[in-house]
Amino acid sequence: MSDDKSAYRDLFVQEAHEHVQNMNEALLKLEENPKSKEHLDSAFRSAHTLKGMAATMGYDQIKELCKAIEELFDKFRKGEENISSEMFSYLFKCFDTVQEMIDDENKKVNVEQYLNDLRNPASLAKQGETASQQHSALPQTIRVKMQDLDSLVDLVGELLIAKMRLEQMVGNNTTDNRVRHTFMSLGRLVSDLQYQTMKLRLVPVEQIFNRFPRMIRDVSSSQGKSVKLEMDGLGIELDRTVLDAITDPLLHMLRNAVDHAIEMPDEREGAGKSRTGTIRLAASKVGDRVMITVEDDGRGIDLERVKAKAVEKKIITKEEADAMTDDEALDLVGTPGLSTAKQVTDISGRGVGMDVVFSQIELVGGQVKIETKKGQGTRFTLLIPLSLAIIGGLLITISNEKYVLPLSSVISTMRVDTKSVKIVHGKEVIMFRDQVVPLARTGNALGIKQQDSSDFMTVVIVNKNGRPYGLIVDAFESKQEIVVKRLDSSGASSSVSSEATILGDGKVALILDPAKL
Amino acid sequence: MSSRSSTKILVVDDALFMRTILKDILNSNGFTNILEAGDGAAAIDMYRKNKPDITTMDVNMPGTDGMQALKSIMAMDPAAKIIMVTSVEQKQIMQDAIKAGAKDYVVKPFDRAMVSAVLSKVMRGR
Repeated sequence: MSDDKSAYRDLFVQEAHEHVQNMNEALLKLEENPKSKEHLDSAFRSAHTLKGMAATMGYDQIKELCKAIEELFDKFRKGEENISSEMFSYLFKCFDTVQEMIDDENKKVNVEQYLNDLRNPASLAKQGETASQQHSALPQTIRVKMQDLDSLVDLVGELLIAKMRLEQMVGNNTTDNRVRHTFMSLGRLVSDLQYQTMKLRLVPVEQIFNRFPRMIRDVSSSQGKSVKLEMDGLGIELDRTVLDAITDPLLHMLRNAVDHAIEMPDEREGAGKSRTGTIRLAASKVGDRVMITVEDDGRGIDLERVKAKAVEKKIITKEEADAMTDDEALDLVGTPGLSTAKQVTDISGRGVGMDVVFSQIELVGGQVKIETKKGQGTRFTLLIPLSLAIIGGLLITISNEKYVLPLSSVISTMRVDTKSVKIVHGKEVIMFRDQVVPLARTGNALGIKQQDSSDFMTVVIVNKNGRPYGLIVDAFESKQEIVVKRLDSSGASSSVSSEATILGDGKVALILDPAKL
Repeated sequence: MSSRSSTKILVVDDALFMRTILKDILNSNGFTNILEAGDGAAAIDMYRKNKPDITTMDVNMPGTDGMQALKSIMAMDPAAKIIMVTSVEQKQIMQDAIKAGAKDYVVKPFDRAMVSAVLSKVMRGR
């Protein structure tokens, strides 16, 4: 057909677009349900049709790439291969490349690399990195196994511990200036090394953010809504593990925004807003944490409905609801079992509510804050630690045993006069920043007998599922950088902690998860 | 009905692009009486109403696919002349289609001379 293909180019481009779009849509659906035959068939068919069209136009690169995609989906259909999460992002990238080649018939792409990857999906799942990044990255890069990076971080952690032990043994009480100076430079070197090592595991948020515009477009158009997604801070970097952990919550929040927050165009116009809704997703660095905001200009959270729902679900009583401030009502949003969507849609009303988002964010030591204005929009602010491998911790003592509370979940520490403890609903509470905060003996959760304090007790206020919670401890010591060691499931792991650290004196201390106390 | 211009051809393909290409090839080969269908169900329907002399049938289509449509049409009209449109690697499907009553097949991407030859052969076989 090469003799007169220009006559067909417009038709080709137009229809090819539809097929790429269709593959994208099918893949999005598959992300929710990887076994859906309907969508596996649909993606397969589009790849197949596109292949035939490209072959007709004489576009060999597109043909080859689509052929490989078609074959891969055929394997998925037949159950010979499973779609891994890495493969989803890889395939999205592949589809983008196909799109680019459709739009620009002279575009040169390293198709060979794609073909190799697509034909060996297993290797793809292991690498998690993609061909296109390989040749688009400007600085020189090499590929390293995630495992090797993890061992490196582990070793640096051990080094940090060894340094602390040495410091306790000789460093702190030496009078020899040469030893002191050597210690200081050793300290600097170790922390530089630690910083550089942690940096190796950082990837730009762009890697996951880039998937969102398409999702927003698809979800909004399927609902007849018009939504614009603005993104900022794409270059901000996060530890890969952390980034992976917050992908789902972010996806959920964005879907929620399209699904429930942004109004239909006519409704928006009626309210004096532009027909197109805007969702802003921004990342920025705040100290050693990353702040991610998800902001929409939709209808805002209906607090009266949240309260009514909470009463209906018996989470609070009618009286409690009536006495609630707006801020307290907002706190309800993260409560398990509360979903205010009027009807179940296939987008976000799947029984998974904001409580799951909250708990997933808190699982990686992050915090969520919600602000909303009726009729004007809602802003979610997430504060996420850069990394999970080395964190700031507060050392506490209970019955002469040392434990660590992650600093990310510590709000405050205080000495409380036992006389100021009140009993509400049979439970001990204290007042903290004008809020009623429940108290608990940390020892109870740990199965340790904790001696009762006489006049004063030491309380650490932590963030437990988004609310302040007072933990009674015997004493708290210092804040320090700790190296997190995952406890394996072989028995060492307990219900209150799945992580531990090694302290300067060589002893092991459990890292407590406030959500589980 | 030996002339190409009076031969009624039904072109079945879900891709408008492919239908257009095939239609143009058929046109330039003297076939001007052409009907189109975008999926298997529409093809069965159009076949019933129009009784085309020759049908070209794409295999992969949403809903009722080419194989299903082939079987339905053959059941309706055992004398139907259906040419399957496949891609090179779908050998098994070609064989199955021939067993199910398809007269011949053409392979994508189309070769003008090949399409013309297959059509002549199928017409002669009448």
